[in-house]
Amino acid sequence: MSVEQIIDALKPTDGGGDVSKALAALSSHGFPARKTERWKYTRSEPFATFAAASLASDSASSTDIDSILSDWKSETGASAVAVFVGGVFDDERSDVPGGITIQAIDVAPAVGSDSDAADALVWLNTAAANGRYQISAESAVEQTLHCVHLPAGENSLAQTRVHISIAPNARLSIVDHVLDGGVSASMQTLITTADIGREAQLDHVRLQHAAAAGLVYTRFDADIANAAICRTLTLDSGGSLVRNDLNLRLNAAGAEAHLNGIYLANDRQHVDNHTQVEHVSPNTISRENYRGILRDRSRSVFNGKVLVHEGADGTDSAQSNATLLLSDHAEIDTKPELEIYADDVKCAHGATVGQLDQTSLFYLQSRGIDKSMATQLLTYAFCREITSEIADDHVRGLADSAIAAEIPNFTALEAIA
Amino acid sequence: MLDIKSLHASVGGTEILKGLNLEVNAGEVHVIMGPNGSGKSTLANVLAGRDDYSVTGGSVEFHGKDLLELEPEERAQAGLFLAFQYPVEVPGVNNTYLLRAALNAVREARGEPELSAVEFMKIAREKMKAMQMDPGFLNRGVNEGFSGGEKKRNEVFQMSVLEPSLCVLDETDSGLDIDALKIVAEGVNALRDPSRAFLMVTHYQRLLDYIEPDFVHVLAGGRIIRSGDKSLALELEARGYDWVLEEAAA
Repeated sequence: MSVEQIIDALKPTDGGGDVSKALAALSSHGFPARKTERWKYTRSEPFATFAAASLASDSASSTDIDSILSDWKSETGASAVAVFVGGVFDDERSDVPGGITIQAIDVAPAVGSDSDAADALVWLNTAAANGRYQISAESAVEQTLHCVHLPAGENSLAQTRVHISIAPNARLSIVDHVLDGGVSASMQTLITTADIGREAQLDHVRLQHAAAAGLVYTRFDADIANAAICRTLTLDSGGSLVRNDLNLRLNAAGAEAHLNGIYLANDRQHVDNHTQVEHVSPNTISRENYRGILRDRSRSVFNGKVLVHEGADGTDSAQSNATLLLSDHAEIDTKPELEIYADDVKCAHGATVGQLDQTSLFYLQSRGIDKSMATQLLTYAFCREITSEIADDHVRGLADSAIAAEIPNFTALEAIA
Repeated sequence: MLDIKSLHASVGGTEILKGLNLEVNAGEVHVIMGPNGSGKSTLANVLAGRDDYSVTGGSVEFHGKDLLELEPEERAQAGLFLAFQYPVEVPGVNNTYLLRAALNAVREARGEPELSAVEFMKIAREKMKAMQMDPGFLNRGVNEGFSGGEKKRNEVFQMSVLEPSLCVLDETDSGLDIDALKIVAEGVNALRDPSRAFLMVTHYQRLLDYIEPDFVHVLAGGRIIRSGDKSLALELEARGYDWVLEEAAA
C-alpha cells in the first residue's frame, strides 16, 4: 500500500528518463520483503511507511538551521563546510574550500552493477532526491570538506544524491555529518557515488547521529582506478533504523580499499551494514574492519561480501568484524561472504562476538582503576583501534568524541593512545 | 603487614590452595618456590583479587584490614601491587593515561593530592630511565607490541611509579634474558625499603643471585611445606623438590 502512495505522490514530478525508470522499478518490485536475502534481518517496511506519509503531507515545519549550525560549528571546530538542508545544498550557509567544486547536476550516475541490483531505497532516491550534486577535486586538497546533512523539519524526508569525482593524482577528504537537526523523527537517504581516478585518493568518513526516531539509508558506491586508494569509515550512533550499503570496486592494478565501520547502538536501535568489495582486476588490496558495541535490546547486522572476479589474481583481502554484546538482549547477525573466481588470491576473514576481556578488566583494576571506569576504558579502546587509523587529527578527534558520547558517564578522552 | 591464615582457594571447582599460612612483615623479601601446579600463581592472583579464583576458607589480613573483602582496585589503592606473569596488552588505552590514573587513584587513597600531567611526566621519565625503557613506550597502548621482556620491565616500572607497600611478583623473572633479569632485579632492589615488603613467586634460583631474600618457602600441594633462608633455594636448585616433598610426607 505504501508503495502506491509513494508512486502517487511522486507522479507529478517531471523528471528525466532515469526518474521514470526508477519509478517503474519501484512500482513493479516494491520494497524488499524478508525473503530477499539482502534484507533478511532488516525490515524495509518502516522506510516505505515513513516515506509514504512524509510525501503525502506537505508540512515541512522549518527548524532553526542557523542556530543548529552555529552550535555544531563551535562544537566541532569545522570550518570548510557544505550544508545540505532537506537534501538541498545551501550555498549561502556553506564555505567550500578552494580546489573543490560543488555543482548541481540533472542526472545522477546510476547506482548498482549487475552483480548487486539496486533496490527500493535506491529507486526512491533516484526518483525523488531533493537535490543531485557533483563534488569535484582536480588536485590534492589539503582541507577536509565537512558536509552537514540536516532534515528540513519534523517528520520530513530528506534525500540527497552526490557524485564525487576525483581527478587522477588528486586527493580529497570528506566527512559527512548526518545530524538530527533538532527534530525527533525524520528519514534521510544519502546516496553517494564516487569515481576515484588513477593514483588518486578519497577519504570518506560518515558520522551518523540522526534523530532518535530517525530512519537512515545510505549507500556509497565507488569505482577505484589503478593505484588509487579509497578509505571509508562509517560511524553510526544515531537513528532508530539504519541501513548502510557500501560497494567498492577495485577496477585496476594497485587499487586499494580500506573499509572501516563502527556501530554503537542501545535501546531498540537497529543498524545494518552491508558491504561489498569487488576485486575486478589483478593485484588489488582490500582491508575491512567493522566493530560495534550493542547494549539493551539493540540489534546489528553485518554482511561483508568479497567478490574476486575471474582473472583477479594477486588479490589481497582481509576482513574482520567484532562485536561487543553488553546486554543479554542485544543481537548481532554477522556473515562474511566470499565469492572467488580466481586462483591466486589471499582472502582472510573472521568474526568475533563477545563481552569485554575479563583479564584486561582485572589488569586495569589491579592498578587501582575502579571497575566502572575500567569497563568504560576498555569499551572505548575497542573502538579506538579503528579510529586510530584516521590520519587527520581533527577528524579522528571528532570520531573519538562520537564514540565517547555513547559511553555513559565517560569523559576520559585523554585516554587516547 | 600481610597475614594469611589457613587459606583455601579453588579454581573451576578444583581446590588449589589447601590451608596456606604465611606472615609477611614490612621490610621483608619472601620467595615462594615449588613444583609446577603447586598453587604459586594462584596465591598471587588470589591476593590481587582475581575473580576466576574463589576463596573457600581462611583469612587474609593486609595492614589490619580484611583483604578478601576488597575489590581488586581497593587492594591496589590499599598498597598491594601484582606484577603479572603474563602482562596484558590493552591496545587503545594509553600507557601514560593508565599509569597516571592509577597513580592518582592510589594517591587519593593515601590522602595525597592529585599530580598534574607535568609532575607525573617528570616522575615517569625518571623511573623509565632507571628501567632502561624507551620513553616512546609511554605514548603507546598498554603493553601493545611490547616483547615479553619489555612487558616484564613495564610491570616493574609501574610498580616503581605506584610505590606499593606490598609487591607481589608472579614469575616476573621467567622469559627474561640475563640482561633484562638484571634490570628487573635492580628495579626491585631500588624499591627495597623498611616500609615495603616483597612476595616473589619464581621457578628459578637464578633470580636470587640478584635479589637477596629473607625467607624462602616451598609451596606444594596447596600448602607451604618448608620455609628457610636463602640456603634453602640453593639446596632446591641442587637437589630438586623430591626430598622436600618426601620429608613433608613423612
